[in-house]
Amino acid sequence: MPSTNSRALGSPRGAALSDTDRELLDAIAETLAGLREDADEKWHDIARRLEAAGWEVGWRIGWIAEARRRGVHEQVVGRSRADAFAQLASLALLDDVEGCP
Amino acid sequence: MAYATEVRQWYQEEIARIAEAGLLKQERFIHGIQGAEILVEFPPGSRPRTVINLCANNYLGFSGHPEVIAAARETLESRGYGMSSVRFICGTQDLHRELERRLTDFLETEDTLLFPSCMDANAGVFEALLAEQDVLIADRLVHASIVDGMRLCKAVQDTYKHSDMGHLEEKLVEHQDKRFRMVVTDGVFSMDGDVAKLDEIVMLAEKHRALVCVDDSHATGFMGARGKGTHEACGVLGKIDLITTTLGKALGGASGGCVSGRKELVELCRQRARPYLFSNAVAPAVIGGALKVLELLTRSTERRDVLERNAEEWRRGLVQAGFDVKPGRSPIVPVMLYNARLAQDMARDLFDEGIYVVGFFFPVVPKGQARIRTQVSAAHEQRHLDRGIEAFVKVGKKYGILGKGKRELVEAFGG
Repeated sequence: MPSTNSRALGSPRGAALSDTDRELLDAIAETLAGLREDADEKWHDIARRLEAAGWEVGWRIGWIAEARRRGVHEQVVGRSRADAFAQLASLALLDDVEGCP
Repeated sequence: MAYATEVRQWYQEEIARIAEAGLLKQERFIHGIQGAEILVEFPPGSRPRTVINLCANNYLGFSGHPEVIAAARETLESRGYGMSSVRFICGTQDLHRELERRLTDFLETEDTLLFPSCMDANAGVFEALLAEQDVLIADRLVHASIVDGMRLCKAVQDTYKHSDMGHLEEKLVEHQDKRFRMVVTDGVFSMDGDVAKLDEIVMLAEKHRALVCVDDSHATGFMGARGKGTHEACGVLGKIDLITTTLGKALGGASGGCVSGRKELVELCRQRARPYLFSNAVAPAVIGGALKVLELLTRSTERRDVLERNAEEWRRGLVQAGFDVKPGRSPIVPVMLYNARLAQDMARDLFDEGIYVVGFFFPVVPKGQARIRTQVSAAHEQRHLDRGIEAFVKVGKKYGILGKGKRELVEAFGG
């Protein structure tokens, strides 16, 4: 039995879904859920307060890429997945060695 | 939150994990003045013994130089012990500004700003000068403090393969859309002792409109014919936009660092660099000592000449004895062993032989690149170098490594 929180849809015109398509659908669902949770507009109050304090406030959806190794955790936000991973690669390279004093 | 038992236990276990990984740093207590020969208590509680020091950054031997000590003592008497203030409130004596002027003259730059250390200079400089529309492009083997400084800066961060000018140019082309590009490198790299190709870096920076920042901590005072640093050695005096360097190595070895370079960049650091704004001024006695060091350096190149000869002789001696030594022209002479255990064991045996050196292995250096980093000083006399080679040969024979290259060492001991 499908849960009340899920719904099966046929792919439009029977198109085969690629991994990217599935990821996109997940992202859309995640975004919709996120926007609904934001409905109380507390975030908007914060944005208004910051603007009143002189901040130029903006927001956009981005990709988070992260990597963990031993005690090190690297996390970046990019405009695209490729951008996020490029940033992550650069950061991780900086962790390759501690270096000599 | 109280320092509960489970909190204490977590930290104890974390320290135990570091120890289990063989990475626990243990201090050795030096009784007396830093120099070519030092009295060392190790392990703690043991009777101190005299050893030859081949692991200090005391490149010019100024740490214990009588004239430097006298100048520091005199300044201590005349200017007091501390400033009890950051520079911009009431922590700047005339001597601070005088040292900044003297460093500017010595490095042949436009202006200089002192920091509590070069670690602090590197931590503060990028954040003060660059923003999210800019990019930092660093050599992959830059010093840890540059890495920290980059992380504190909002600019895009990128790296190029160590000393790979083709790769650097690719990165400069890739980032042409940025407002400012800044190439960051060490002058002399602390792990391998190799020298950055500053002439080529400057050429690429001019071609692709980039700024150049060099951490010359392991070069100021002795690289180049007059000891001005890597920019002098590479023939690019006046073409480096920013130099960060330290008073904590060749220039007396006490503490303090600086940013030196284009006037506007230095001034912006004075206005914005947080380690400068929120740390105490460098102690007057250190300033007095550093002024004396610069006076001695300007008066004669003798000490950097001695250092150059010592480094050449030490390197030649190790190579002739059959050690695998990283090629180079700096006083950092790494003896390559490739195996962490071997590096640790040899360093311990050398200490027993009266030679103080330290084994470096991952994560301090890349995996499979374990080595003993030796550092030569102008304070070393011929007998120190002779005794050092003798001890290295004795210990090298014990492990059967003389005449063996990387492949044979890795086969015998593992990488």
